[in-house]
Amino acid sequence: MLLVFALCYLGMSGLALAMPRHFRQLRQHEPSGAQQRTLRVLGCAALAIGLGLCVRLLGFQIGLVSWFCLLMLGGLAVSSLLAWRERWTVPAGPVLVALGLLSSVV
Amino acid sequence: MSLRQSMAGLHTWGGLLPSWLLYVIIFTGTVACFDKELERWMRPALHDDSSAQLTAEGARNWVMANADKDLHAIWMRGPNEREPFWAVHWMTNAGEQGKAMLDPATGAPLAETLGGQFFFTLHYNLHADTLGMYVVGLAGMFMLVALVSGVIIHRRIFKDFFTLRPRANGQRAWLDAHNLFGVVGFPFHLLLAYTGVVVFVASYMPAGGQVAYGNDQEAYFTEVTGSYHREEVGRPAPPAVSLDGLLRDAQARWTGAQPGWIVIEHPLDASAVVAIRRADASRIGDLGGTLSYDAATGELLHVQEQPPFYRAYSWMVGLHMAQFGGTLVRALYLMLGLAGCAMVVAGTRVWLRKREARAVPGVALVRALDGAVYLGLPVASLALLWANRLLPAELPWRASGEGWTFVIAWLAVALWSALARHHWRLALRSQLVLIGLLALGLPLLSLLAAPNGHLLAALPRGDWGLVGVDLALLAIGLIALIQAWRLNPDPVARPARRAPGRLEEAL
Repeated sequence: MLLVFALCYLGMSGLALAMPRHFRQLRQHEPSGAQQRTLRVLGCAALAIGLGLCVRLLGFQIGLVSWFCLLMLGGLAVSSLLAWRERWTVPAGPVLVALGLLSSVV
Repeated sequence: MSLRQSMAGLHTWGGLLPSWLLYVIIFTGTVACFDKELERWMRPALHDDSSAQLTAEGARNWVMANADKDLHAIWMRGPNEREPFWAVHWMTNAGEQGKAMLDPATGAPLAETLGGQFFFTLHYNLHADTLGMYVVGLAGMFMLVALVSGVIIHRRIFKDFFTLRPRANGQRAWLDAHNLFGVVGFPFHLLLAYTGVVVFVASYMPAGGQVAYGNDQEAYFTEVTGSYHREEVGRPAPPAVSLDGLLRDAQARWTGAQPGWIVIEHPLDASAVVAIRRADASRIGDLGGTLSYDAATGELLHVQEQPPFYRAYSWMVGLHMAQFGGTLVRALYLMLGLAGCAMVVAGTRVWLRKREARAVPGVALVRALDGAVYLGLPVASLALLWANRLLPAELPWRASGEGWTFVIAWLAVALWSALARHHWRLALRSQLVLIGLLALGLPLLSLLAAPNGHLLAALPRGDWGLVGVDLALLAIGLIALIQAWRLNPDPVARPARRAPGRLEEAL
């Protein structure tokens, strides 16, 4: 389940960074149109994979409810990092995915 | 006046006035996600795993021997993983109710305590029965109104979706926090407020049922839920068949599903019926399938089939109650519930910040209420747990002692907040320190008062229910102390370093 949260976090951070305001927070310049589109597509893809995984693990109904909860918490996590620890926003994604993979193997 | 302007007024006042009540409801609902874990935490007799000796038959015999003689109905629930004890409730023909929790090892009633159930009851009726249930329903309607009007007046829902500016001026920072917790958590808040109001829909909107069924509420509920009911015949009941045999039969018919509540209707009458409900944590909604047996012969009389409407209702109630999906779902609900508390707290802070400079009447009142409720309730809850650990288990008035501790602690914090409303930063800081010390002290107190339930005993056993409560208390204590330490009592000296938005984490 940590992996699903990691994917929700990754997806939400992709969508956040596709917004010029948050992109500027980290890169000091405006995102290009292509960068914005890539971030959005990758973000949505991460969310979709997370949903698929969650439904596979917990069944359709409970999986859907749990994914929505994780999605909201992922959004809150992204906002909090952007507000207080903006440099951690991007590295936190891969770290969470790695931890998630590790926990699903163990 | 445009729609947005009129909705802004509605959101401001329709949100502010019930906000303290909503905080109480959301906070206790959040705690109630783990009410059963808390219940066991508060009952040290259940801390070591003792094997269950008391059977359903034994539990029924206990009620027959100890309850009043004109029994109308008995409700019983057997031990399970989260609640390893027998819960028995009964009602007499005169309408008097009684209950007991029976130790599965000895069959004797467990020591008195309010238990985790206290928070659940506070959540849905404020311990004020029917009146409280209506008040909570009204608050739920106000929450729905505030959520919808909030969406209408928010000009930049998507642009500000992830925006939180803790270093901005006070009002801006609190508005960001209010918007963030409200918008990102919106699906949760909306669904939980809606399904919460739905739970008691038959009481909130009784007209349809009363028109169609007259005063025969029993017929109404029997037909709506698709269950079975048999009228008394006025002859004494013949000896009853073994309850444990009926439970085995029910499990066989459900192909292994566990039984939940067992209801025995008029057990002293020849028409006595045993209804066995199914407990299924693998689904959101209760699927029905309750089996009704003749208490004397054991003959299967009826299998419940829920009408489609009632199935939809069960699904919505199930979504609210979070008894599916195990600890994971309950932990997610807990965190989103905290986000709901944060939304309410930040909302009143926006109202205050906007009016503080202009010395609007009511600012001191709102500030005092904030302190009294937002910090008073956590302090009172922790005080209740302290009373549970300090009052000896054999005390007959232990439960009411816990209740009085809760009330007095809350009143004390309320009085403190009212008296200190002009030095509210200092009061806030000392109240946070109090929360921190109370929360950190509880796991330590358990070392003395709960020999089998404290961290050092429960951790090696892998007893995560008890470990989780203690770890949560330690985390709450540390966060409260850190926030108290960071909170600047003199805002003029270092205005840029204040960190609004953090405070709600401490709550």
